[in-house]
Amino acid sequence: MAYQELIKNFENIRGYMNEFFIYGFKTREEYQDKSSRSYDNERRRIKSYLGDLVTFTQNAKGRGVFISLDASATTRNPLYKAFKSKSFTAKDITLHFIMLDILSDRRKHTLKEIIERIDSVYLDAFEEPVFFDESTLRKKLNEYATLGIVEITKEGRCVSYQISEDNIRLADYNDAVRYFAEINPLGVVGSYIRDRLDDENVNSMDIFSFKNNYLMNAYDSEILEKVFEGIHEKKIIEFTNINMSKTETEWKAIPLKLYISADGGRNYLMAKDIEYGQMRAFRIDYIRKIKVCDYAINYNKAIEDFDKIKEHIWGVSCQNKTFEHIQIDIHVAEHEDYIVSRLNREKRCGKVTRLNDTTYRFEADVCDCIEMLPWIRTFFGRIEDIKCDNKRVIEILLDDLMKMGI
Amino acid sequence: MVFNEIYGCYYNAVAKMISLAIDGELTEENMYDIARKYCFEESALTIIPAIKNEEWKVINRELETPILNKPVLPVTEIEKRWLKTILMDKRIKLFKLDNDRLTDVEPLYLPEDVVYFDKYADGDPYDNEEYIKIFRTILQAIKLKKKVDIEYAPAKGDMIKARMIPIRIEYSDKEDKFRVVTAFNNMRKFNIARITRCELTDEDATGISRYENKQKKLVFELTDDKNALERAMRKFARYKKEAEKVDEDKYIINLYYDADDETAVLIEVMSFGPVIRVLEPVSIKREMQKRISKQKRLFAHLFNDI
Repeated sequence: MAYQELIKNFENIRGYMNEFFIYGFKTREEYQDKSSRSYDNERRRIKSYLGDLVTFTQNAKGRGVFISLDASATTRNPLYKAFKSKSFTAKDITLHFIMLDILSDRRKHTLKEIIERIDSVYLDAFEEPVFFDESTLRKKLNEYATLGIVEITKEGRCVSYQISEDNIRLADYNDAVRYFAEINPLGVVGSYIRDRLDDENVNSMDIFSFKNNYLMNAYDSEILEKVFEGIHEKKIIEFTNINMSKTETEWKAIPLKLYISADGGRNYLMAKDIEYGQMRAFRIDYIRKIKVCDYAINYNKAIEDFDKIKEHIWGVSCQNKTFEHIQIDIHVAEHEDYIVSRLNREKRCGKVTRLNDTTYRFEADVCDCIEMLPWIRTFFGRIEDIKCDNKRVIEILLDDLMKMGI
Repeated sequence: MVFNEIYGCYYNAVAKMISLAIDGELTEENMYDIARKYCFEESALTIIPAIKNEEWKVINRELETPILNKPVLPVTEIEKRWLKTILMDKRIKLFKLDNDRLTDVEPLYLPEDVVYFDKYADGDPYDNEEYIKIFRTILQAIKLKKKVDIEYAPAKGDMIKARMIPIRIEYSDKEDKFRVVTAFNNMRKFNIARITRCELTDEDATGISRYENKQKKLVFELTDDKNALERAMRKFARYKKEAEKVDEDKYIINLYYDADDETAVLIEVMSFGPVIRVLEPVSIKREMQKRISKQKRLFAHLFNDI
């Protein structure tokens, strides 16, 4: 099949964009699980969508493709552009503009009226007119009703269609949209609104910039949409999870929370799985083929169970039913109040107490102390003592120090 | 449906072409301009033939259209729900909006459904009326391109009183803080929460040279142990960087950071432990070595217990 710039399904390109963004050094040959043609087409599409953000590296093994950008210098997430690439048929686009035109009078129209208008007014202008049957038109109108563009009214046996009431003054939201489009987990929707504001010539100054923004999570918007649907409507979700070693597992779970790492770039679905009844964390970028299913009758019980342990979750590990106690004594010299501030603002649970003029103690009971290791390492140079129920924590820290020796 | 053709750049571009055709102003040249401006690099190669060959029956070969009204897409359900969602965010108070809007619209999710589990706990005071007022004054000054008079209480040192040009408002997700980026001496960023007074002036904000942070380069060797490569590449994804595989499980990463953020970068690197070995800059390398040596001494009693 000839190369097409637009795509029907975002899943393929999601995988490649992630690879190019995260692993820019990989060469074409290293994408072993993909066909060369698929690689070439996706690379060409991504280059077409993102332009100069896609760059190349050359090494002995060949040429690598990577998406390179400095998030703090970015006022608009450029990766949203890829979401504006959905393919369509000639009939789709033709019907879209004709239907909107017919319905723009804000009156109710029957299917028959719309078809007659299309045939008599719109298609005469073309040498080879196309004809739409009732079924195609009804299907499109129903699709637009789902999108919220068209309202369907039934009066007896008469079904009529009209454009949806739209009294929202988007210009009022201009500043808020430009900010939230960049930081909201489903910011891509905000980017669609921002496109409209740009068209309306509303002040489009780039007022906001963003430090520590993980732009690449935009790839997962389709998955997040379903996750939020499940959470908001208290429904069970089914999905395929693919781990680092590319093993696929099927899951049925009650979705509870979205856990976002503002410091690590990873997002997680916290959920109670149906088969084992356990709390689990699923990486959002590892989720494929998600489906929202039936209402979860025991949703409130699952949330209650989660609430009981949430104060003891350091990162996302939530399976342990007993908590591990940890106690860390930190040296704080005179004029080093900023270390105490650090402890207080960075601790996610537990408490900080002053032991004496130069020592502060952090202690907590957590589901999995191993998750705390990266944070504990950031205090290297001032940890006076550490005690932990999980002996492995101390073994790892001592081993780290040996390996990090000069 | 977040991925749908109605939000696509092709539909958007064609809508603009139809509008021009209605006004009798559509030409092949401006069709190319629109495709270049609103679509992707290769889009013109698809859009223009599809219109000229009358595959898409909305504009004919003579570049005329049977469409009578300029296309306007109503705000969709998911867009309304997204707006409702942001209206429920604590930071919405920073923007002048009426919270009673969209009363019959369901949000996509509730604020409590999302947890930023490693966000700092001392974020900005979004409920504080004075803070909100200062934020809005800065926002207005940037839009009007005017200078502001501020009084600033830094974490250390004396109060600063100055007239300055606000250029941009920077938000840090991790810190949950807003800073105003200004063209003021070398002290270019101010925590908005530390500004105690802010007045809009009539003075135009002219003569701003382009603001650029001083960038430094961090070079480190990464050993891909326990999925360290993936963890590091994701954590550092917000920086401009280059990576090269140099051995079976070893990578050299060049990462570019704002010189003001050196301590933050050092802490980020330390969190990885022995899988990262810093090669450059010397300042970070030395500071890490100093901290490790000190920690070894502090843990002497634990080493003795092994």
